[in-house]
Amino acid sequence: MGLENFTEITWTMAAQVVVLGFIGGVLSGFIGSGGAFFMTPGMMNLGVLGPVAVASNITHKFGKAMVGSRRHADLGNVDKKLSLFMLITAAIGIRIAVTVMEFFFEKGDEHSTTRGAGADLYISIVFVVILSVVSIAMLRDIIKSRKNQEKGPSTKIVDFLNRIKLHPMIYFPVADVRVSLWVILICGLATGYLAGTIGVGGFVGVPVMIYVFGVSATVAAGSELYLAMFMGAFGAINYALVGLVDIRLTLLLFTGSLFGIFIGAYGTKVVNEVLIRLVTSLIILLCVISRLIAIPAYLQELGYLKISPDHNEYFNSASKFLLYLSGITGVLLILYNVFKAYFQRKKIQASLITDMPQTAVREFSGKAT
Amino acid sequence: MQIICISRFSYGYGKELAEKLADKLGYQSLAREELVDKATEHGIPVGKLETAIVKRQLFTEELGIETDRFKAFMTASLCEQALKGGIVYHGRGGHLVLPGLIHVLRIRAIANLEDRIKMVMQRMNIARKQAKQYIEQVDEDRRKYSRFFYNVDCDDPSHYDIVINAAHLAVDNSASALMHLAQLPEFQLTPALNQKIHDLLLESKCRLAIYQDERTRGVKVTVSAEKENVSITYIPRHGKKAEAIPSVIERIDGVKSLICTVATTNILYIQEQFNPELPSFQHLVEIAAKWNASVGLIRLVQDDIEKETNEVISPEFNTAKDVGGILDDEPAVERKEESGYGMPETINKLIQAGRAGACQTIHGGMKSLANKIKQEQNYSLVVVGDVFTSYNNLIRKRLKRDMISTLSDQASAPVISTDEIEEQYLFRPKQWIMTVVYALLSSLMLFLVFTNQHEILEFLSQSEDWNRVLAIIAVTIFAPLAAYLIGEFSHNIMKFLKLE
Amino acid sequence: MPDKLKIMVIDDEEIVGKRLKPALEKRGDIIESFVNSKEALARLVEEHFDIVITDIRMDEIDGLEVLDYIKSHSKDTKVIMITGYATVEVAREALAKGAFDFIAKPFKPEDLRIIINKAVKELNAEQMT
Repeated sequence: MGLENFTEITWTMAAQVVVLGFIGGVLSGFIGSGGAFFMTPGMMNLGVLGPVAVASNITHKFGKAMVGSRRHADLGNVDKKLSLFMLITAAIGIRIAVTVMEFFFEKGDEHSTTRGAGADLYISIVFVVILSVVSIAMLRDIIKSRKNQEKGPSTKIVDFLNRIKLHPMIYFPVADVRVSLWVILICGLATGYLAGTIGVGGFVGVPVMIYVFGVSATVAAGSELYLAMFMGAFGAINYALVGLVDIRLTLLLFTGSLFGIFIGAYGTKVVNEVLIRLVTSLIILLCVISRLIAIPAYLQELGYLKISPDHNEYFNSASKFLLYLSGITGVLLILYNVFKAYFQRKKIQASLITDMPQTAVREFSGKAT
Repeated sequence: MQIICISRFSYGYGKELAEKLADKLGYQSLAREELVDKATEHGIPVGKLETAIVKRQLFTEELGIETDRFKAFMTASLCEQALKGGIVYHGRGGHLVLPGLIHVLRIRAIANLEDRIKMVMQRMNIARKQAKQYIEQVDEDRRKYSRFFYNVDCDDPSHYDIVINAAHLAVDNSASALMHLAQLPEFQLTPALNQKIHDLLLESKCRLAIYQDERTRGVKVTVSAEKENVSITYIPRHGKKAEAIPSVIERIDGVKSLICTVATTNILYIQEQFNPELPSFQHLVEIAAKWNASVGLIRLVQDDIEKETNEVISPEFNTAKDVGGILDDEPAVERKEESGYGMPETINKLIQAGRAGACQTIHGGMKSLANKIKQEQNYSLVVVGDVFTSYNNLIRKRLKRDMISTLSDQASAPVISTDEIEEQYLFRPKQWIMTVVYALLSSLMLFLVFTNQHEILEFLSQSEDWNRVLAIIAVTIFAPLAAYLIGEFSHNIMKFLKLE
Repeated sequence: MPDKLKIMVIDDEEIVGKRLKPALEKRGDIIESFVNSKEALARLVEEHFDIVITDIRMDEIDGLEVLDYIKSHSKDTKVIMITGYATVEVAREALAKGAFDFIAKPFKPEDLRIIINKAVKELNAEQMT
């Protein structure tokens, strides 16, 4: 392997990667996990090879998780036992993901005009399939919860598995669930594979814990965070081993994302919960469509689709445009709310000082017994 | 009066024991089931809450409020009864809805599983297998319930003063033994605790009123009461509806003053003596403004001083209800002293800043304080001020350090000392320097990486085995380092912009 | 198993039957609702019902007694308990005595529908064997 895997980074490209990082950071702070679903395709649109984009992103996630974990070292909502059990096979999943990626990268473009088109196509397809399922499920959830507020997450799968009781069953004290070892191992494998392939383990890990294991949403999110730290490290090591990590991209991503994440996290405090989920799912859906548009170009490069290579430029531009549109709209929406709250906060304070004697402090004279 | 709580299994002998004990002591016995019935009559969907917990249904904000409403109902009912006379409550969670009442005698009654199965078979007329399943199921429900409701493992014996086992001990004899236990001084009501019951009652009444009233339904509040002074905080999201809170509270008897504060979060400030002029206090207000938080005050009274204060309160407590003309002066003076310690001035300052939270006095030193902090997990920062002032400087420092580390174990929020506030949470010259340092280091790193692009990329994509390992090590060290430098830089900038 | 289910609703609050009836009839099932549990038992003697939905707390004859009767006379009838006033403990007792499931008031017809569907599945499965 040589330097041909790495693109040359111009000033404009560097700036764009920083912007990608910023948007991804805001989104990840806002959603609580991820951000990869935006940054990875964004880098691919900029001409970075898919596997390199994935690898750099995983390294970025790993670094961020290391620093983040120091801050909230002991979140009460982490079932470490559950995370560690999932990690066993998640590691294997990641390893498989890297090996498959390598295979596509080396062999996938035998009759291709452009290097890495095979791997790019593979990443794009996995991306589109998984994230469209995720975003549609999220949208459906929102519509359902609007109609019927009191129903919890569907327990169909949990009930089904509980009836089968595939031994050995393992008890997880923090999450307060009993899950079959085999189910955990399979889910861990899937989570690891997806984390390694497109860097969005959280989108699969959290729903799996909620819908398959029956864990409550808060514990699921906490445990996923814990799991993601190890998966990120393992992913970074594996990709570094294959020599696909572009540390320059990781660095640029950090420059943008670490600012973004604070703003995103602030956003969750001031934006209504349903809106958070709605915005998230719409952004993901747009990212999916954006990736979908990019696929014909890869097909052409691989010779599966007989169209003029001149059109590739259009596909790529359209894809890029849509991606930026979704990201920037989302970020602007969040920023708008953040700044609105930021200025309102000053107002509330002021009104409290002046209104205090009349409304906030009342002396109920004569009422005291 | 005396409060005894028996936590029991269903179809154990807890009920019988409670009734016997109440009989012997001349107290009233009160079953959880009775309270649940009354609560349901009041429109609290207890069955719905329980079902949601055991069936793991989604817990909406609305159900969360109903949970708090039910807890308030339990607290109010128990306090009301306790003020009338001694009570023996039996059921789950009794002592957990009576925070701070350290004289509550907490009993756990257990029984032989075999006996329970037999009893269930008999009473319900079902087969052994079903009976066993039933018991296991109900016990499991109960565990889930207490974990969810109180974040407590109900089987953990450390939550009780005594565990009594029916396997060998007859009910009557158990009751006799417990009666003697109840005579011990630890379980007697002191005037301070009596006041605490009044406070709890008032506080839970306010919560109930707010959750019940049409105008304020759906507003999640934190209420605390001390000596007829009520303070309520609510989150900004509920601002509109919360405006009606004062008019709802107005109708409750016994409220002398009300402080109502909007806050996204709470900061707890622990002191022995408050002084609004202290620079550390000013810093605290500054942080509170930044976080949009309210500041709750806790005045800590150390163990050895406790007795003294209790004696001070007692005359007031005895005469408060129907004072003759002459006695009027004395309690008034004492009241001033009691609620003094700089608390009124400090609260006034906080009100001016729109940051006032609850204020409380905690007796019994470290232990009660730790309990209190464990029960109320809704703080985002706990600040410990000047404590242990009666000791000399060295001992004071050591004790304070111990206290901070003990509290850190209990609280879910960071616990810091007043001297650390400035350094950690406010933007000061020192932080400017650090920001610049981080900025320089980050830029240097970017610069070095981009001027040596080729070398770095070559290094990372070498194919020899040993160099591969080196590349991995380099990546695993470099990524967190870069994240740390840039992260600290951006964190500082955000701190400066007050966007945390 | 016929497509149409025969479902009986017993609740001493008239409004419950009135509201559940149209909601459950939507799927074409035959619904009979009773306010008086005594009358309901008399009807149960006359005819077989696939599913009985009964409140637990009622005057005269309570839900647990209704359950006892059904379980001793027509074993394959599925009984769903409604817990209004009652706690989960009573609901568990009902389950131990052979009730199919329980639901807590206030609930939406849709939530009940989910439980009924589960019951139907089990009824079908039992008929197969």
